[in-house]
Amino acid sequence: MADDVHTNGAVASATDETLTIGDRDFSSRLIVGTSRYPNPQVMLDALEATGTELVTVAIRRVNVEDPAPESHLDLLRRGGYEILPNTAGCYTAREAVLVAQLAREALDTDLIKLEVIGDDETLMPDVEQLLDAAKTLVDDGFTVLAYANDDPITCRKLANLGCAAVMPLGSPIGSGMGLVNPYNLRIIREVVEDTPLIVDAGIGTASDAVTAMELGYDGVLLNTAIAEAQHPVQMAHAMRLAVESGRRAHRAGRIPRRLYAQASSPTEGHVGD
Amino acid sequence: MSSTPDPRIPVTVNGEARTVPEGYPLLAVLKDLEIDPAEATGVAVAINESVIRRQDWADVTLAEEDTVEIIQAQQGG
Repeated sequence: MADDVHTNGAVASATDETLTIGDRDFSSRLIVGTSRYPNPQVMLDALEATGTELVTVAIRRVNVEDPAPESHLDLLRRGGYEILPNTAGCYTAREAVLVAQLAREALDTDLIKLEVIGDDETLMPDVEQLLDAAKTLVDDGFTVLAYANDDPITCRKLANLGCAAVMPLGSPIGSGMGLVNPYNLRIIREVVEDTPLIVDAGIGTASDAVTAMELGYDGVLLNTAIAEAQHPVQMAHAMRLAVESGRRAHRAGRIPRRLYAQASSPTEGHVGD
Repeated sequence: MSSTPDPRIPVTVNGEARTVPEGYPLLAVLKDLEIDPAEATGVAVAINESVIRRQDWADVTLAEEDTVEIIQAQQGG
């Protein structure tokens, strides 16, 4: 990839490789959920402001008592977004595999955001079931983006199983607590070298997204931080800038932290020397 | 009352126990849920944990104790 071209001190262009997940390339490194917005128009405006190309949807039973719920799928497709179905709400590998297969049929996609949770309070992944489901789905030809604990061993196993992306949580889903264990996220980046890593869950505000990208993560997946912000569209724009900013900072290479000062101005020729 | 009562069979549709006439078509189940197979987007069906491809919907009828799951893509994170 070409280096940034500087013109009169300004960055004229900043070429970056695309985010590759399976056989798809994305120029945006932000994946955005479609839930909890005040209304569909705010959702569409917010998605546009993020610049995202990939949005998540849930797979749910059609309600027998209240059939034919309004679907926003057509709106999303008209917006040109690639659809990433999730297996949210699944507690076992068996459920998650069935939901993934239903999603593939419903949406004509091999993409799946694999979530297998252990309980309703934490929404933390059940690692045993997650690994089992990931193996089955990879073997079945799915492009698996696996939501995982911020555990280096689990993340490495998911990568070795052939997941197209591994997505450790920053903090519990919807909590907005940010990256509560950045040291684990650093270790995960070191042990998972060749598989895209995406921070999924827990992002609260723009600085959390910046930090994730500065840690060398390939992308960020978020929903609530935008959808429940006081001004979702403004937050959406902030998140876009945050991901781009963090990515650029990571590629630029930060200075080492020093305990003592290091003068920026010349150390020779002080008046009075 | 008819001397040949309509035989009904127990099935489960999206977790709800129901009885339907023997040989009840899958398309009729979808119609009950106001799903138009020609129009519906983001819908899929599984019977007994096997996905039924959309092109096969018209050929499927329910058997006793079938468990039917009919899903739709919805907003989610």
